[in-house]
Amino acid sequence: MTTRKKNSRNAVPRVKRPIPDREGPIRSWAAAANPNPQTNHGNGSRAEPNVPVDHQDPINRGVVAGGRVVDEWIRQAQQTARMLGGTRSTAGWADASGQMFKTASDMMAAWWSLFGVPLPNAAPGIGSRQPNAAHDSAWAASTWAKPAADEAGPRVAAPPRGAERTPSSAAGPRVRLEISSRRPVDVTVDLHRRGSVLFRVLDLRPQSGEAPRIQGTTLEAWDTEGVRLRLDVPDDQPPGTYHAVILDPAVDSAVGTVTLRIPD
Amino acid sequence: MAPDRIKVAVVGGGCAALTAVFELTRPVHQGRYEVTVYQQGWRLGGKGASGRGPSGRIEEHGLHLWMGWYENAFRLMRQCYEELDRDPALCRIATWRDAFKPDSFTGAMEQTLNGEWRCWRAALPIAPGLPGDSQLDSPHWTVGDYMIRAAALLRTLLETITTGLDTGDQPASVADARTQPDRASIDSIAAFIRLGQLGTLAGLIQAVELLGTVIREVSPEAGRLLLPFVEAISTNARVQLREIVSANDESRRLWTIMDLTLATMRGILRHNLATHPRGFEVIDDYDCREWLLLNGASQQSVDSGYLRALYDLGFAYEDGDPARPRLAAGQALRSMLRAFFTYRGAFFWKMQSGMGDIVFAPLYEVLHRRGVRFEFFHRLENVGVDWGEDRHVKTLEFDVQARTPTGAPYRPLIDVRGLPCWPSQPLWDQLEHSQQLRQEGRDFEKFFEPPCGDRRVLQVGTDFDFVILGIGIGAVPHVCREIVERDPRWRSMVDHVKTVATQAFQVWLKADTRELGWEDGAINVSGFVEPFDTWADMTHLAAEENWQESPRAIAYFCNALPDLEAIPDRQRVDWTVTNRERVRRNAISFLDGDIAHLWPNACGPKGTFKWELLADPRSGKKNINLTGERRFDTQFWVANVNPSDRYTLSLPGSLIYRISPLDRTYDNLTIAGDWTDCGFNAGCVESAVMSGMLAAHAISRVPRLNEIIGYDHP
Repeated sequence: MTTRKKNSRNAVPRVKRPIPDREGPIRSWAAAANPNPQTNHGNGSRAEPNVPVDHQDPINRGVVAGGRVVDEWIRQAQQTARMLGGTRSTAGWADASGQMFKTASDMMAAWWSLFGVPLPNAAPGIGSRQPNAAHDSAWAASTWAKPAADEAGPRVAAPPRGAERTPSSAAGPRVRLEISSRRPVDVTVDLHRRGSVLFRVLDLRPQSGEAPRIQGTTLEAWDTEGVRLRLDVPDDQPPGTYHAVILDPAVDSAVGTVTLRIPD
Repeated sequence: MAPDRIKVAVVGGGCAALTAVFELTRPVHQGRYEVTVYQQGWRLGGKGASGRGPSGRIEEHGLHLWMGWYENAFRLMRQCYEELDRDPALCRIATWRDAFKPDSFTGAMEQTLNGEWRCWRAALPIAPGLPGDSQLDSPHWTVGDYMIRAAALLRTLLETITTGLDTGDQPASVADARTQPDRASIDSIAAFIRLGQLGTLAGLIQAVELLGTVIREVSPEAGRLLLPFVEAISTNARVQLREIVSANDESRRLWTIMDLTLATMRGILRHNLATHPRGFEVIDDYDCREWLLLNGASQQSVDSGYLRALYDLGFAYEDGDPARPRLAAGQALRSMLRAFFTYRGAFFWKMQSGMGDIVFAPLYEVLHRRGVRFEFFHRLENVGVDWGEDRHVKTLEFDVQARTPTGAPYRPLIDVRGLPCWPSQPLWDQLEHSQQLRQEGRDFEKFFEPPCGDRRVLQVGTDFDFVILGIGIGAVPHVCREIVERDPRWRSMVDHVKTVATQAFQVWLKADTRELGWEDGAINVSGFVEPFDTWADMTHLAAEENWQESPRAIAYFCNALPDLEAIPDRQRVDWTVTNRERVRRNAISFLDGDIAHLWPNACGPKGTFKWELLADPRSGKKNINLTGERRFDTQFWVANVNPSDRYTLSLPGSLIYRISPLDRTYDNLTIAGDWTDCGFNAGCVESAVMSGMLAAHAISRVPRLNEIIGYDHP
């Protein structure tokens, strides 16, 4: 409250301003709620705060991996476009754009599943202008598979986190990825149809260059509603992107793809 | 009426001071504060003052546009108009919606490599709500909110670029290819490129979509974790889009916004601005352009018309030197985020009359009704301080510039077709010795002239209890000499919180803008040439003025006015005249050359301005028919070189020297103005209003700090 006080010099009552609750704005609600943060924010305006990142934390790892996913989106989208660059048919373009959109969406879905939260509303992107009915009931899974132990350790066959998921489509089955690799790799399964007990996965071929094919990949029914992909990445397999076509022997047609990316 | 009233002396009548008065005289205080406003000259308004000149034309201190995020300022004016309760049948500007109209069309000028000027236009979308609405969806804005909105903006921009590509020429048909082999080859290549571009954009769109979702779900504390993600998008976007966007101006401009947005997001994460206790202040040592470059923006984006417009709107040139653009990065970031992401209704709101008529006349009327006393023609000369144990202001010394013959209050407003307005000159017939004063050529708003000599000294405890110092920072060293000399903080403040002189001119034209060669509608444009980089089409005011033959276009131009030397002392009586002549020459030169870029039809074959286009407000009254550039003398121009009229800058490294209205170093003094540490430390109406609210809080603890919208902001 405002107070009226005696002036010491001439004894005339003089009022003083009240004491305010605070003398400045709250710039950070987090800081206001936690006045003793663990992180070192520094004082100098030009000093960049040095906040350590815990790379063992699963969320941290997921976010970091997200950066690589972005690179991959761009790469794959461009590659698809390049493959279709010579064709000028509208249908080819529709397929291409739909594929690009799908690829990106699938990777986002898989990456996002690391956080265990619902997907955001589907972004129409270019897909909204290039609807691809063939993909309407498709489902897919992908992940960055990182060995649970350190990279010099024994080979691991356990499915990486996020490898098992329920597809966004209620009609879709679950997919289980069993990747055996010493190195972190990215695997995408893009399957447009279900039903067969045993799919046939052709050899994974390098997207470019002369790297050897990867053989022995299988995709088979697992559980009552899901499928399981088994993929063994040789230790000496050159870095790069590899693709394989999935065939459904029951209908004798291609029903999907597997994409493997081994980073440099 | 409160039995033990507290006397508050408010020095100055600008936005900040009158906001404080409005707050202190609210009914909630039950008349506890007895407020007197001491104002030099004949009108309120400070840097927002305006007056009515010949033909009732509006003559402004400069160009004033209200922005859709001025929540506190709009709330003040809405409450003011509500209390004013004008009868719409009697007054054409009766409500705040009459007073302010939305204006979303804005532009930035850019010069191409061949020297041609092009306008980058944007009609910004209407946002939900209205500025000053009482119920805000979010009581405060967080960095996370802004990052989500920035990601959404990126996505929109990307999709816009994609749309542009997708609607390009379709590949040639096979039949065409047979008959036009060369064309077929070109189309094939074009199709290939287009597919690649779209593929790239598809990936980027998804990445940005994910980014927005990540920010929603990941705590801002994880800012450092998000950095690689944003960097991946930035790098890819920069590499992949560079060639795409160089294809046409529109894509390049969209990319500029993307580039700056990405750099901003990257910088927010790198500097941990989401969680830093000092918020954006932590980067205030950087210049905004420097900070954006540091965080990956391209030089081309930093040099773009978009960013120059930001600087132009804030006169952000140290000493008015166009070669020294300087704007504290943190405050610039706060300004941009508030401007683009928190506006309500329209991006800009244009006043429908002079700022004096729209803002200060209503405030005067309401405050007068509440019992506030206004002492016009009182120029503050000195603030006397008692340096005892309880430091406080003990005296306020004024130079009384004029008095009324009977001692009755001066009545400052005139009626212009039913609207209370401020005149451009004092109402001489109310003043004692008016003939003598006019003969002496007294300019009561001019700093550079000696005092009139009629001294009045107010004493603490007798004439006032509290003081609100609501003058411009430029005047502080002159009237607070004692404080500045003895108090290091005040000394640092006046040394570091710098100001810049401004220049402005207005022209009334006999042709409309389309006839002048401007093809679009009414617009506000920045980023144009020196000496006048900003133009606003104010033709809507023609109906408000009182011409015999209404002008068909009205244009306002403004810019910083480079300082020729340090602010001289008061004895330099020619200073105002000298600078007015500079502005006149600048304006004539501008019209005779540069205006052709905006209004090609306003110039003759040799590129010189058609002076006969200027409407003369005196025509028909006297045999005056000025020709050639002399006709410009019938228009209005101003050099704002008085210390208190100078615009407050937000220079890098200077904001920490500002003092808050809440500061209690002098226990009966608080300060108010856009130069104070008021939470939004930039020169604008909103800052001034926030500062006034803080000053009122400092005295009465009302309004509460959390009621000052945007005060608690990163």
